[in-house]
Amino acid sequence: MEITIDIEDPMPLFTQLVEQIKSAVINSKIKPGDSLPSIRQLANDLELNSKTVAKAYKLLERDLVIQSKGYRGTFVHPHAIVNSKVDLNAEVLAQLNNAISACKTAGVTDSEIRIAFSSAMNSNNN
Amino acid sequence: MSINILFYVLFLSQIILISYYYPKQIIKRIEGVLKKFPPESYPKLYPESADKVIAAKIRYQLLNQIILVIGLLLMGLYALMSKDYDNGQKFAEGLPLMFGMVQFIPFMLLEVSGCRQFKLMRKANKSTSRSADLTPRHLFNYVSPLLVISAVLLLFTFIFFDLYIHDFTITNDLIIKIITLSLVHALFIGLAVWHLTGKRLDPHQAIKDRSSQTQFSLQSMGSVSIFLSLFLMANSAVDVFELGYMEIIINSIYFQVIAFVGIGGMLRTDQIDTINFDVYKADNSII
Repeated sequence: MEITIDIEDPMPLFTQLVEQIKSAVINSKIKPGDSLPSIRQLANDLELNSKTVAKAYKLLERDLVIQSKGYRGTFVHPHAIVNSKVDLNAEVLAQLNNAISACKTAGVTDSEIRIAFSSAMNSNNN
Repeated sequence: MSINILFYVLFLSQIILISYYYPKQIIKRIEGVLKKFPPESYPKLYPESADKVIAAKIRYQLLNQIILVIGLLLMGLYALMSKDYDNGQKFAEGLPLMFGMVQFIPFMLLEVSGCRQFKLMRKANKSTSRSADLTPRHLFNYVSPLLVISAVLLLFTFIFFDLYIHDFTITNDLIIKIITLSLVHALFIGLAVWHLTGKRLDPHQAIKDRSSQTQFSLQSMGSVSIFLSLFLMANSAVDVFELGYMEIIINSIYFQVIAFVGIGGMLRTDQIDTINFDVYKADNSII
């Protein structure tokens, strides 16, 4: 199973990787339990920085599409097919839309929403 | 006398195999590629002009012809000088080894030239799309565990054998051999890691071709390791059992086996008809 990325594409490289691997899972090109290449192998084959591939793998692991088994390597998660269809970005966007709509209905201005959002993000990061 | 005749046959075979037969096969291969995959249709295959490839081919051919003549002259010189030695006496045992190393120089120069071509290919590659296989490359996907275990076991067998025949005393000779073996195997491990996880030299090479190249390289390294241990064992045995006159025979056989496994194996595995040359066409993006 081959994946192809385009370094000129406006979509970030790690996102392209995540999308391609999820697509490979959904289309049964790779099956649950299949092993995946190491970060180093994939980074060298795609001529990418290994941090980019590591970031993609981290996101896929968070989404339960892949699972790391220490020295044995990285494998496709047993529930990867279902988990690959879950779009966290769409979910976040829907929830934010609801919150913004509620704020606007209450008369909160755009700049107040932005300031509140930044402050909420900062307090969550600290 | 019989040892001398055997040596002549083996040394002649070494000269012909490494400096005539294999170079002829490689030249035939270069000419075949130039004819079947010309620069007009496969421009990515020629980062420099085809004339440079032809010039490199002629240089390679000439160098091998010179080495072939030197080999025949050395054989004549050996025939003249060996008259002064008894049949059971050790004489010029380093000749096949030293000459063998010289015989490999054109192949090494060809490899260096190949690496230079790949570097130019990478520089000229303007494609923004990059592909990779999602299949991990593990050692045992390419070589059988039996080959690796045999190579490791033989390595330790050699050390034990050498200690055994020297009454378990660590000789300087053994230390040198262990250091040599360690260095050779460190190189093999480095090359194996590079083949499994490293960057590809040829930016256009098809995934399938890379896989078969990796398989061949790992298998030949395993075989060379086995033959190296066997060679060193034989080398130690002839010293202890006072069969020094056999050393010249063993040395010549060793170099021919290495050439057969390395160069011969490459020619058998990477055949032109099985390589995907479409990736070098002008309209093709990287595969």
